[in-house]
Amino acid sequence: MGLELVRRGCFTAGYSIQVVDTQEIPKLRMKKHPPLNANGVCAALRHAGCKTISLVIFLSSMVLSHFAMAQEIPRAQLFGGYSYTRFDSPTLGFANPSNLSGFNISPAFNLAYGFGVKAELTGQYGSKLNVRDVTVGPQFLYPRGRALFFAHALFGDSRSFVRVGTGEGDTARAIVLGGGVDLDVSPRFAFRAVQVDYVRTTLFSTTQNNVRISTGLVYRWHTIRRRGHKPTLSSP
Amino acid sequence: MKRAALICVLVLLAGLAGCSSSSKHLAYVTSPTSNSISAFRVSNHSGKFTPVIGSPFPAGSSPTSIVLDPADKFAYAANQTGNDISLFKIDNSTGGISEIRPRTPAGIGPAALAMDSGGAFLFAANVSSSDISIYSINAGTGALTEVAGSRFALPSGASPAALTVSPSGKYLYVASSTLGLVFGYSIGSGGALQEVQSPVAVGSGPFSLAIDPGEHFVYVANSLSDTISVLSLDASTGTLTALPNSPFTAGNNPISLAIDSAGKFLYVANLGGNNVSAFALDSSTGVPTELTTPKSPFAAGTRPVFITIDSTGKFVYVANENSRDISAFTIDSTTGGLTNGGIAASLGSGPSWIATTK
Repeated sequence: MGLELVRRGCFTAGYSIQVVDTQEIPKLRMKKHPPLNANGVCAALRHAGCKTISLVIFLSSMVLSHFAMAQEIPRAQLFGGYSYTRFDSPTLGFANPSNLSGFNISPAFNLAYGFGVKAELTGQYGSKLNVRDVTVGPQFLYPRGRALFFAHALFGDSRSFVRVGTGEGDTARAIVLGGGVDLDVSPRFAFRAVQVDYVRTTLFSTTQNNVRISTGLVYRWHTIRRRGHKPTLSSP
Repeated sequence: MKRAALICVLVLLAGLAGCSSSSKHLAYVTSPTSNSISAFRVSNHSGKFTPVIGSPFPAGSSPTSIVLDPADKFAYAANQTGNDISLFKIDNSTGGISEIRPRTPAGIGPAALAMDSGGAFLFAANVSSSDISIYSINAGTGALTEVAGSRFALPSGASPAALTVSPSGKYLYVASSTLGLVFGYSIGSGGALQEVQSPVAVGSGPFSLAIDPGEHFVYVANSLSDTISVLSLDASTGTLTALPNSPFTAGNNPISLAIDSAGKFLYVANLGGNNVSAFALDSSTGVPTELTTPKSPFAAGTRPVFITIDSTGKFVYVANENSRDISAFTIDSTTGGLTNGGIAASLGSGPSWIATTK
């Protein structure tokens, strides 16, 4: 069974690649792919006011099937983009979780193939509360074709200000566990299709279990190649 | 396989994101000695209190009593040493309250508030000036306007300590803690009061009134005589008549009353006994019978001064002045018995009153 890289057309700023069995190509050309049958889940998400989550996860699901083999990672990365947080504000007496929007800026330096250190600065803003996190920790990377998967565990501080009454602020520990996938756009740039994080904070003497989703662009410097393999992508 | 895994991830994320809406309401607790009002988000399911961020909120001088409008948009607090009424806007999303100034003047020593079920009028019992302040309520802004005839004078030295509006909104009853009397008034369309009869004698030191939902009986906690008076209420005239065997024996210093929404059970906070007595109410005669199974009374905190049943009808909350906390009890809807749920909330200073949203 042979493998062939088939261009599937433009994906945002670049293009994606899908692995297909060459023996199946005629079949693929003959019939359409069945659509992803996640309508029930999407409806539940929309019902709960989670359109942003639905959109980002849908985009990521479209992307995850478009990868092939590669053997290098960037030496350094700088991510910047949009970030959405579902903040666990009932722990503060709110009626419902808060939807916060903001930014995520994250520099990373990879010490070896598949391993690096990362810092993350995020700011999330809502009508009643703001949260800013500064965290640092290890990240683990796994390249597959034009996709670069990563996972990280970050630790630091979270600072929150709540506009209730005269206003209340607090600073507390934050733990961020999550990961995501970057897609090559060019040798220098990648598109972070999705980054999903569980963010645990202990603001105002209570524990919040939050979910954060980020997307944006990654700028990259240099590459680290896996020993014994030739690069499949041109390096800057 | 891959598709199934993806759907699982999506469902997991939806759960993590906490997309479901909450089923909670709010509770507000006055603390006169700290001039503040504490706010809590209360679980409809467990009755658990979660402090609202920013709580306690600054209030007037000695906020003693608090009531909420029927739409749960506004809260009114009687400032006993400030001699005025504070208006607060409730933010239902955060639970926070913010005072809308200026405060509305009252008589001297407003100690208790009552509002009709339609939210048209607010009544304040001024214990030191022995009169009743009457306000009409602007449903849109919550603003109070004193009506013609306010302040409505009571006999000298009456020291009204408690008042309540009948469920129909037609009658107001006021307890004189010093004279041991209950006054009955009809409420006019403009809020003016008209006495329906001569005051009715009850026990010594009446400090709390409660009316059953059917508007058939008025219950009076006689704090100094350790009894409960039961008065039959003529819904057409508003007149009161003491039951033949009234008053009935109660606990040690009964100070506050609450009747469940079905009118089946009466709960009494006993100031001296540090407990709560539970009574089954005879729907036809109004006679209260203290529960024996489970055995009443039920232990509360130190110096309970106020008792209320929350909007779900499942929980009883007791404000304990000396232990500076709120005791929570679960109601057995069949027997009326209480299960002690422990301390729902600890406060920095003694609570005096609790109001809950729907």
